[in-house]
Amino acid sequence: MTRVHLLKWCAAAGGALTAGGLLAGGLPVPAVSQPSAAQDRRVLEWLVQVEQLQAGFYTEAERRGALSGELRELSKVVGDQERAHVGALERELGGTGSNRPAFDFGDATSDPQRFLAAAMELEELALAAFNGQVPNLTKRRILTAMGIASVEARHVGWVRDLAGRNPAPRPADVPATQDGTRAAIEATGFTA
Amino acid sequence: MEPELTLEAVDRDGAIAEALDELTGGTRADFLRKAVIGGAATGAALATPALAKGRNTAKDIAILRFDLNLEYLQAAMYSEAERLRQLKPRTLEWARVVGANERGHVRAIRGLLGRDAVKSPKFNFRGVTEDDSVFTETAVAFEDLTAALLKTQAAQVDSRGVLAALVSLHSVEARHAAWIRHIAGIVPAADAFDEPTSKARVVRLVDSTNFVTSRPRTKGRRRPRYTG
Repeated sequence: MTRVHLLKWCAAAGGALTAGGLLAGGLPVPAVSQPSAAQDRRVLEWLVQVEQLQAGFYTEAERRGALSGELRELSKVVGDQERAHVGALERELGGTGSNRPAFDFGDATSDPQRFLAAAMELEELALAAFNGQVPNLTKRRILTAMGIASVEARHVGWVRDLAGRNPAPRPADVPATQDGTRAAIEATGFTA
Repeated sequence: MEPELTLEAVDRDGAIAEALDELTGGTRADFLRKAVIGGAATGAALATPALAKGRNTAKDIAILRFDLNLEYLQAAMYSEAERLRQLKPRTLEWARVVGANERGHVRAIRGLLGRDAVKSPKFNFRGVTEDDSVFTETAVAFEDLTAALLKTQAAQVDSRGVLAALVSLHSVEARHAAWIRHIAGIVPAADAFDEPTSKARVVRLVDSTNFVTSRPRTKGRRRPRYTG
């Protein structure tokens, strides 16, 4: 990023410039809390919801049996992995206590083109959700979350290549906030 | 409700944003700067002494230098393949796109290291960049192992800002791995969970290739304080 861009951004950000400037000027660092078991729990509770959405999607696609060839194989392999992610995160949270939300995937699980488009969207949003949360976690959970994020990134690469889209269009992946991911999920129309 | 912590707030000297903004493209710049480091964020990163001073810790410098050498190696190998144009079309396209990404990673990590960055070692790829099957096999190994190594390092770094940067690069390496595996006809996602790997294992892989013909720098070149 060039300085010009930075200045433009600061101008657009308004108040943030002041805050950033003050911080950069070396004022006392505000009291803050470190990553903790309680925070890990909040983060994992959120990420398991994202995994449930994905698992629900592939499970339904398999059940409807409308896919063939490599799409069918992808749906099975990726579906197994998403279900394993749900299971692992639930175990980390100490049981199967999480709610299983209901979804409505419409035609996305029965039409190959729609399936591919939806899979791409769901994999990208899940990856961004994990990437956004990893820096909040304690060291042990960093490895857990990155072990899953890495597989989500592989899913993205696979789905995109199959769809004829560049699997890695940028050198760095942009993380998403919890709110950003919530909005992206809402935009899919899959949440009942 | 705690206020969400943005990347900008933890990135005092702008090094991370500068490195990542360039990689994610101009239109993404605002997005990234506003990107919260997590929804349930606390201000953990603000407590990191290294970032507060705008400097990396010795441990983070060592980790970033190792990554830099690895990125130099990948960038050089894929760039050479692109230049020689001897690979099959899909592999060549992979080398073109991924080469550009790895060159971006080099710039990003150099940006994070600042004056602690090291120079690239010299390489000789011994014909691998002209042989489709050997190139593909080597690329699969490099991409799988780099993604695995970045996990280990992410859990080790002192700075949450550096952690955020490694996370953003890590998933791109996993995309590369899945893509080259798909081209090679092997399953892109073999397991539900990807395991971390050790630096020693990566060193062994790199040594086994004999691609590095000059010793990689892991120490900065600083002038001796007193000279006769």
